[in-house]
Amino acid sequence: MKAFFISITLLLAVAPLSRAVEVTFERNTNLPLVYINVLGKFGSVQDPAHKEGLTLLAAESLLRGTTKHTKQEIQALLESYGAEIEIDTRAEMTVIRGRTLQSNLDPFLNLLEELVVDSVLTPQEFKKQKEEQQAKVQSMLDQDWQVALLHYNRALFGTHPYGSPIDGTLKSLKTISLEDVLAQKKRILQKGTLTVIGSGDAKEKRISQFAKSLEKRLPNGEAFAKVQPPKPLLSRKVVLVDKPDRTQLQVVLAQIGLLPTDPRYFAFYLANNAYGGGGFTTRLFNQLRKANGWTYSAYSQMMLGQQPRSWTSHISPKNTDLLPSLSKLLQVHQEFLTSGITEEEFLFGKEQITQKEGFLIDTPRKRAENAILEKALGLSKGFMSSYASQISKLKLKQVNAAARAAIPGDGLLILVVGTASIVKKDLAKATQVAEDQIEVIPFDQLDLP
Amino acid sequence: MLYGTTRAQQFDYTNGLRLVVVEDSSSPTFAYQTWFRVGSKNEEKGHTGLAHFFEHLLFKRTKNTQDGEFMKRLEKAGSDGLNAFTGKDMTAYIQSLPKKALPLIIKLESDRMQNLVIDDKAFYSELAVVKNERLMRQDNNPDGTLLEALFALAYQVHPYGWPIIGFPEDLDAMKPEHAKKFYQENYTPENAIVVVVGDVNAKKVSELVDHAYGSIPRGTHKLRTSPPEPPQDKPRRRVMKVQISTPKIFIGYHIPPVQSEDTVAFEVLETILASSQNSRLRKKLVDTGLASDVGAGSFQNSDPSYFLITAKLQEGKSPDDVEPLILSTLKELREVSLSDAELESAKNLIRLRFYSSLEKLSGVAYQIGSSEVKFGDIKRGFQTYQEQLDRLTPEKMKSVLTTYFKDEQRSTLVGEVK
Repeated sequence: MKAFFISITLLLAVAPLSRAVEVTFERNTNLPLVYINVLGKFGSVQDPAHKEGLTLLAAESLLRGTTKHTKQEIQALLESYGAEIEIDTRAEMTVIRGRTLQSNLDPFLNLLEELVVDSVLTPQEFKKQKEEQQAKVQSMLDQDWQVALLHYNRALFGTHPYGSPIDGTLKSLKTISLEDVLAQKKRILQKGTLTVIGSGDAKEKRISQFAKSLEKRLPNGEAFAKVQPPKPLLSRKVVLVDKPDRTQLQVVLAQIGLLPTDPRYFAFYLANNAYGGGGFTTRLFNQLRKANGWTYSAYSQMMLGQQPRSWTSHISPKNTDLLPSLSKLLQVHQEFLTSGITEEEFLFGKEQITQKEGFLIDTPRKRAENAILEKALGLSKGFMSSYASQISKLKLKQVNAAARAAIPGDGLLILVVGTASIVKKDLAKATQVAEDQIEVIPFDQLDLP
Repeated sequence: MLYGTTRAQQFDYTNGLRLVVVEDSSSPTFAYQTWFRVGSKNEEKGHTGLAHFFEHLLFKRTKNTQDGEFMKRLEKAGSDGLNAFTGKDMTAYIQSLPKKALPLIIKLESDRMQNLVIDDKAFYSELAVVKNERLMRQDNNPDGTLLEALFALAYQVHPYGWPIIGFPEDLDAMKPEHAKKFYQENYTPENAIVVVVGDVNAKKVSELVDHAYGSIPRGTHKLRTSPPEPPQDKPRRRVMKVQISTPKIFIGYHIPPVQSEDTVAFEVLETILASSQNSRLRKKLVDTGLASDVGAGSFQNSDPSYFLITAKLQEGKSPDDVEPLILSTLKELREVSLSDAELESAKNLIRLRFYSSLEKLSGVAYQIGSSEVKFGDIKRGFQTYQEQLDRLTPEKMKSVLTTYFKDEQRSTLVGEVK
């Protein structure tokens, strides 16, 4: 992993970024509000190995003081404006999300600019930031679904950056220094990495002025290397995440998914809609929840990225239902990947998704969110609102070809969060994997060796 | 007028049903929500969880539709956000749809208000799902476990003391006949408000609603009222061990029902105490490294309600370090008036969040439905609320704190690491 990042650094020197801060803004005067998002095309994939959480800390440090204001003064100013700013760091993007009462737009934009270009992080504030982040990570481990999410990414992607916990681990956060955070901040806050996207009761000219002013004051930089595609698992892998006193389990089947630009993407999307992605009428819902009452949650989902991310199926049975519910889940999953969907499911899904078209673009804020995703993932403009038109053109044959072949590799990760001493035997039976072949991991162990 | 140029039209039918329509053609869709003034407080002891169970059962078979048909037809029509939720005083069934699906949803919603069929098979398989949901929300979730314990400590007579999802033993004992009785007694038009917001014509909606719901008879049973909670005369405290990484502390006080004019003051207090980044508890507890997170909130219930303060401690810190600071913060607020600037900032943040909640059609419908359930009056949730917020003074805040935040009205629950 270390070598991977060294090679990135060498590559960066020859790839200068564009010098513009782009702007997308939609004026809407229905409410006296303005939403301004500053999108950064960087995220946890820019974390070096064993420094997971670094990009999040670097981005979040923008709210912790500037050359003119302390953290408390920044928050007091925001509240006096009727405004809020939060930092949302994900794998491949970070969004500084701001919203303000329209009447205070000017001072709000001035403050937002100050945060992006004049932020400072004192040693005292960094110490607090780290303590708060460590506590947040501990709190995440209190929630079983969060434990499942963190562990399936780690188990599926291994040392690939998509496996890194965005928030860091208790161990990785300890190793991050103030110097690390300042260096990462310098690396990510550059002209070509930022885009301003917003909506609300403001003139586009004012938002463009804000973007131009950012552009003037941000340094030129170097592009980040593209993340390499993850490697699929080659065989079945069963992981039991051991957490004490569980009476209910989180069960996840995970495989490497598809690129949104893959020609089979929309066909697979429609197939998955019938399998588990489409709401309350899917195979997972009907066979795992409705017919047997084994689980409250029963769904599947595809995560999108610049490289293929995960395609997962989720259920949450009680301990004593693990054997029948997981056996059934594996059967439904296998049938789907072998035979695809029926014509009835195909026609239903096509109708459902095309009728739903209006909701892809029903508010200015949603249109802004679509633009954020398109920019962050390098998708063409209008991609996020094109689902209905793309899906209306599909044939059943294409959809089933995608269901059968789009998911790469024979490997399947089966991950269960539960109390190992209670459920290991049933897990072995359901997965047909010997007990000693099941990898048992303590729930709070997320670090790479 | 609700806000800006947005106005609501209200229609009252002879069977007691109320319809509220807001015409908004900003997108070719509409939100359709049915709010029932029926929540967990309307259940009987020993039958807890019934109101929430209807969140599941109402998607089952009716005399006119097969099991699953309700969801299938709506999903095929392009529904978005098809769901339901239950509170202590209400249950709401929500969905958004493309504009042409208006007749369909009116037909399906009016059908399940009068024709639900509760058969044994569907009842028991869905009951298993609810038990599984309870494992997720309460028993395997430390926050759920602790909140359940706190309400049991704070309310010893009133049904607000029991969990919305129901006690495990009550779920085990639940029978189809209990559900049938609860449905007949409570899911009637005079207990319901239908809210439609979006690309619709109000007159047309009212005609369709009249046609579909107009023949449903008014119920014969009055909503069950709850025994009043006797005044709390001394502080209560409980410590329990749960599977958490660091201790948590919950401190709560009894406050008046949501209809009280003081409700807006509690919202401001939430902001001043914890829900803003610059709040007093955040500065005292989070910025000093004693806690990793703090929270404050009022529940806005129709019967005497509750205000709750929470803190999640940092590793190695004790509740004994944190609890006195929470109490001294409340004492300061009782003794020293807020500055105008602090109050105005809190008001601005509330205005921001209120307007943000109206961005989607479903958000407007939610505000209307919840205002109707809480106040029986939409205006109260919009203009009156804003006017009350504008008028709120530091002196009023001090008086509210002095009246309600007394030691004897306090319940404290400490969650320790197991």
